Amino acid sequence: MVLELYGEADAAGAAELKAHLAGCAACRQAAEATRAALDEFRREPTPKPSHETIQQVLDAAEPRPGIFELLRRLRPVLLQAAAVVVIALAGSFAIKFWPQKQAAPAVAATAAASADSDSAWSTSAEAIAERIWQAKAGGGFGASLDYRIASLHGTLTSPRSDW
Amino acid sequence: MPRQPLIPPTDVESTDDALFERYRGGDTAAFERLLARHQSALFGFLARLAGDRALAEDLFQETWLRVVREAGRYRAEQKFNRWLFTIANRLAIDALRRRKRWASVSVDDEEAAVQLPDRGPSAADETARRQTMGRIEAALATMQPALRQVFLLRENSGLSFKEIAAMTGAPLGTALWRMSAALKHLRKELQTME
Ligand SMILES: [Zn+2]
Repeated sequence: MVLELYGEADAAGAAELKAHLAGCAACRQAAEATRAALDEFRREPTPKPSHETIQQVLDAAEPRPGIFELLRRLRPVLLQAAAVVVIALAGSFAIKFWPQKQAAPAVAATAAASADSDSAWSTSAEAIAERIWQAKAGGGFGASLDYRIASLHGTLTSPRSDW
Repeated sequence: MPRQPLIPPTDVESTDDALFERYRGGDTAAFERLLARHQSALFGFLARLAGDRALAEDLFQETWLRVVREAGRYRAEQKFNRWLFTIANRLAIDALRRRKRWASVSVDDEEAAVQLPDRGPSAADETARRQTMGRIEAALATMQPALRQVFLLRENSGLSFKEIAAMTGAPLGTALWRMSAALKHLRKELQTME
């Protein structure tokens, strides 16, 4: 009966019910009363949510930056900060081990062939700082970021590759 | 007054899933349409299941907040409507349990409870309550919560009994039995009010 009322009965079930109702006045009457009760229920106006509730739901659905969105937006700045930290670490590493190494040709070139190893590094560090400054002055952190990072990366790694 | 169908019509170019996909892509207008499409059926379900308008407003809001929050986890094969009503149903049952307005009883107990004349305090109180409530609200108010749940889910969500059984964690036979008892209760209550 329930399945039949909601159109979920299979053909056999529907036929069986039909046959039973044809021969059973009590069930027929109950079925009619049930349909009438359901009709009354469905005619009754449904309670509606308040406008305030709807507005609050709509406000909540507005996209707002979450933690991941904030991180995504800050990514260029974070990457540059990370690059500066890496440069600083690499710099102290280079200074520490400089006396045991021959001046790398790339660094030497940037350092304008200075004999003083400390001033060679400091000139090289200045060149890196200059590149960072240029990258920042370049404006918005857009598509050129990867290129800028790559060029910083090149500045950092080229002396090492010659060690 | 022509009755608006509770169960939203399926409109091919903007199925629930298509709208939800657009919302996930940042289109808030698609969310607004989805909300407009389901708000009546969902709120009706919550308000009548809880029998408490203020609670229903909270539950309604919380349901949609979950939809927004868990949008990334939704998979189309879940079917939006089923997902929405599953969230709402769970929140409602939890809230009613906390308020001690949800009795989870075994089917045997349910059957016994349904057989009992569940008349409240006095006949006069009943009559007064029914006059302020309306026939349908009054008939639902005296219905066992687990029966009311299945009845309202089937009427408002348009989900099949099989889906409702799965959602309520009951075998299909139990869901069908509850529906049958709910209809009998509704029929008898409406008849006695005549
Ligand atoms: Zn019969």
